[in-house]
Formats: sequence, C-alpha cells, structure tokens
Amino acid sequence: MPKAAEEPARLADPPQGRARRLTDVLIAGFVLVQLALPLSCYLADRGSDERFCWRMFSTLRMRSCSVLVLETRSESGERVSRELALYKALHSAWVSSLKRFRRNVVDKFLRWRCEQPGTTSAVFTRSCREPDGSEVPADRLAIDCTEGWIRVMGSGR
Amino acid sequence: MSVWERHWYGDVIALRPYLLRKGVLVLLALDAWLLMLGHAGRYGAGGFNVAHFLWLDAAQPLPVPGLYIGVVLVVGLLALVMALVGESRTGMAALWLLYTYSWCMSMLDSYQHHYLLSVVLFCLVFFPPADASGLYALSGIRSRRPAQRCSQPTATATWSLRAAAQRCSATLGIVVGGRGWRLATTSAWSYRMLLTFVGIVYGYTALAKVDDTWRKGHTFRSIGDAGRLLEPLSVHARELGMSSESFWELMASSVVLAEVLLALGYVVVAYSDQLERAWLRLWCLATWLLALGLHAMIELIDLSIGWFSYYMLWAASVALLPASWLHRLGMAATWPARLLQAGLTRWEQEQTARREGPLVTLVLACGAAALTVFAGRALDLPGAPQAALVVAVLLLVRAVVSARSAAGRARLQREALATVAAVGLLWLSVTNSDVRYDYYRFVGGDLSRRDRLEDALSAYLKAERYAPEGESRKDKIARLKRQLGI
Repeated sequence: MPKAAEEPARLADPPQGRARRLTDVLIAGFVLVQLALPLSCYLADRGSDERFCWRMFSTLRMRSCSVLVLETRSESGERVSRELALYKALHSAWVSSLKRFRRNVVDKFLRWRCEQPGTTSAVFTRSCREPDGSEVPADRLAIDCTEGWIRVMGSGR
Repeated sequence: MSVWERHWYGDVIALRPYLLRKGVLVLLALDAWLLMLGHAGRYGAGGFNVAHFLWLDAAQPLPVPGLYIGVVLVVGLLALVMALVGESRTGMAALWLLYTYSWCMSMLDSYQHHYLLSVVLFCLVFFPPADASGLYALSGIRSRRPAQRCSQPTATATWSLRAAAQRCSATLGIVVGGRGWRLATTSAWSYRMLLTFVGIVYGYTALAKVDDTWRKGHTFRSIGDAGRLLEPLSVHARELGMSSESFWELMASSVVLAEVLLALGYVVVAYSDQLERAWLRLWCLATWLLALGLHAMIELIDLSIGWFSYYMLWAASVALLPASWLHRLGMAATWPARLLQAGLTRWEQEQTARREGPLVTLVLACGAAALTVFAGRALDLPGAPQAALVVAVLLLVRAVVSARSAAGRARLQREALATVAAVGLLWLSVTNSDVRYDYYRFVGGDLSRRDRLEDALSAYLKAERYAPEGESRKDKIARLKRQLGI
C-alpha cells in the first residue's frame, strides 16, 4: 500500500543526549521497581502484608477472621486479665486491619496498649477460616509491657 | 532505531496521552471529593494511627480529620484546575506528592487503587505538554487512502472469497483505522511507561489467582455479589449438563485468562500507532472489549473498590480504541475548551493593548481567592476553611509574582478562572451528595461505640442536617439524649 502523501505533524521529539540517558535510567528503574515490588510478595516472607502486590481479592484477603485481645492489668495490687472491648478502644476500621493481621498495625496496637496506664501485658489472637470453610491455625502474639518486645506464639500461615 | 528506542520513544498519537491525562485528573478530583471525604472521621480516632511507612509514622503528627480533608480538598482543586488550564510539571509533581501523602499518612487507606493512582500520577508528571487547540490545529483529514480504491473488486474476482476478504479488510481498515486522518504524533515515553505499568498490574492480578482456592471458584463465588448475580447462569449451566463446581471453576479461570490477555494487550498497544496494521488495531479493539467486559462485571458484582474500574476503563479506551474514534470524540469534548481558549487569547491581547493586564490579573485572583475562602467556610467540614485559605493565599502570591510578565498574567488569569470553576464544581459535588451526611454519621457511630456520647450526639445532630430522604438519624439522636439524660 503506498505511503500517505502527508506525514503527521509531531508535537514533541524524544529527549537527546544527557536527557536521553537520564530518561533511560528512569524508565529502567521504574519498570524494575514495578516488577520487583509485587514479586517480593511471592519470594520474600511478607506474611499478610499484601500492599503494593496487586493481590486484589486474593485467597488471603478473603479469609473470614476474628480477633481477641486479652489484656492483663494491675488493679489494686492484683493482676487481672480480661478481654479488651476492641470496638470501644479503637475505630472499627483499625479492628478490620487487626483482623487482616497487618503486622505493623498489630505491633503498634500492642505497644499502644502498653502505654495505657496499668497494662502489664497483652495477648493478641487472630482466628480465620478460608473461603472453602477450612480452619487456619491461629496467629498469636504476646507483649510484656516491662520488656517491650513482642513474642510470636502461633502462626497461621 | 533500536528495539528499546522504538518501544519507548516511538511515535504515539498525541491525542492519547492528552486525553488520558485530562480524564484521570477530572476523575481524580471527583473521586477525592465524593468518595474520600466521607471517611475522614476515622483519622486520629482514639489517638491511634499507623502510617504506611515507619519513617512517616515518626515524622508526621497524628493525622486528624481536618488534615485529611484539607489534603483531599486541595488534591481535587489542583487536579481540576490543571485539567482545565493545562498541566505544569511542578503542578503535577505537587499533585502526585499531595495525593500520595493522602493515603500514605495512614493504613486506614489501604485501597490498592490509590497506590495505583500514585504511580499513574508519577507517570503523568512526565507527559509531553499539549493543549486541545494545538492538537486539533495539527490534525485533519489527509488524502483518501489507496485502501479505499481496493474496496472496488476486480471484474474477474467479484464474488470470490478473496475479493470478499479484500473488501472486509479494506472496510475494517477504514472503520478501525479511520479514513486517512492525519493525527498529530508525539514522543511520550512516560505514556508508554504508564501502559507498561498497567500491563504489569493485570499480569500480577492474574498471578495472584493461581491457587487452588481461586481455581476451584470458592474465592470468586464469595466476593461481592458474585454468588447471587451469577447464580442464574449457574442454574442454566446445570441444565446444560455442567456441574456447579465446573461452572464456578470456569468463571474463575475466565477471569485469570482475561487478565493475562489484558496484560498482553497493553504490551502490544505500544506498537499500534507506529505500525498502522489492521490486525494490530483489531487486537487492541478486542482487548478493549475484554477490559469493558471484565470491569463491567467487577462493577456489577459490587466489589466496593471505589472508581478503580472507571480509571481502568478510561485508560483502556484512550490506549486501545482506534485513534480516529478518539479524534472524533476528542473534537466534540474539547470544542468548548478550544472556543474558550480562543476567546481568552483575544481578551488577553486586548488587555495588553489597553495595558490593563496587571489590574485584571489582580481582580481575578482576588475574586477567585475570596470565593474559595467563602466556599471553604460554607462546606461545614473540618479542615475545609484552612485548606481554602491556603489555596487563596497561594493564588494571591502567584498573582503578585506573575503580574510582571504578560505570559505570567495570562496563565494566572486562566488559573483564577479555573479555580472559580473548580470551587464551583466542588461546591456542587459536596452539597449534592451524601458526603457531609456520611462524614458526620460515621463520626457519630464511632464516638457512640467508644462511649463518647456527648460528642456522638453533636455529630449526629450535624448529620441530621444533611440526611437524605428516609435516612434520618432521629432514633439514634433520641437514644443518645435518653442516655445522657437530656
């Protein structure tokens, strides 16, 4: 087929020289990051953290979960353990994050509870079911407020 | 040209990045105001927050509703002003940073499509500048293609299969490729970067579904309304002899296949403008139909993912539809803007002749600033008056700085007018939607749960002012008053 008589007008030319080299580096870096970041979800142990992974509605996301936080407080010289009323302590959106076991949310939450007067320790338990109804072993974390570090007592993965 | 150069720096029909950027900016503004504002009440609730990144947790103050609302309002205004006036690299970079901060500040916002938009905005920063008048001045109809002469079959082959195929191909070439439009092209490496990114997203969304639970259809069946909506199809399939399990497996596998094909489509589309092959255009059109089908289904099964599908459909339409179709669509859509641009250019020339430029600039900037401040106060949302004041002050500072040159004045005048239009649209969006009702009732609900009854009552009383028909919170208000002994 013969070429058209008129070539289309061009608005912008590609960068040249140093600008071209910088652009090539930017493009390569961008593509590498966009490929590598989601890949880390599959190759590295990121637990329940599926951010930046394009795992929309993954099986992990579709688990049906509940959480329980047992707090031990020092009251009148005695140690009393009771279940924390999560929806009274936190906005419901954060409770959802706890159910999804967003580790940095859970960790910060436990440390935040230690900052509340009288709290000596707390145990966080998350129990889930897969979409097909099968149970997943519970995730369990504990914090001792005097020591300040968080122990993993059970892992659901 | 090497393969690398051809892929990233090859010609693209200039209309594509132009329309993509405009559409994304308009969608972003409305998305910010209509979908994001209503949830602002959860920020800082109970004094607890976790940012997306540890360093941000350490660096920022506790995000509160006023901060979030302020950021989101400015994001919307900036996006819309740039859509109307034309984008500057600094403005786009500021928008990218501000929008990214809006979700980075807290893991309350973990919508993946907000992260996707941040990457899109990053790419938009580097899009080539273009305006509608310039684009359409450089485009037009070139001489008829020889392809149209091929549509006349030869005497000996009139009814043969080959002649029919020739006719089809020529007709399709005209329908899909256009009747010899001379469309302006551009080098747009960041546009190609964006398309590559979209292809990567589709690829990974397919990879995320390569597990038994998805493959067997359990996950697909349980998301949104999928189970209920597709149940009639499942019944029909059973009548045809297919088991329920097989049906859901087929549906789940179809989604994966669609996403893989979409990923491939976004790779192929990079060459469709350069190579001008009918089969390439047909492949792109088929990919667009697939995108339409997938995202229409996503919307129907109500996955509560905001406007993600609309952004993806806009990207698909701009990237995959034939350029000639976009040219016609763009011609109609940009006609008011081109008319206005021509009028404004004439007006600016008259100002320069009469030496009225600096005065007109100052009056317009002051008017736009005053209107912005007034609207911010009238919106009745925390953070809105402060955000409006920031925008007003920025506008006035720019007016003083820009008044010195004719080009600066012209730009500032257009920005002032665009700000007026953007504030007007903001006002219309917020006052004609449930944004304020949602904001206050969500705040009221959370405060009730946390036993802050007096504050909950105040929030519900405000929500009641904006409650739509049939959504009154009178019962909750009455119950709270009883609990408080009022």
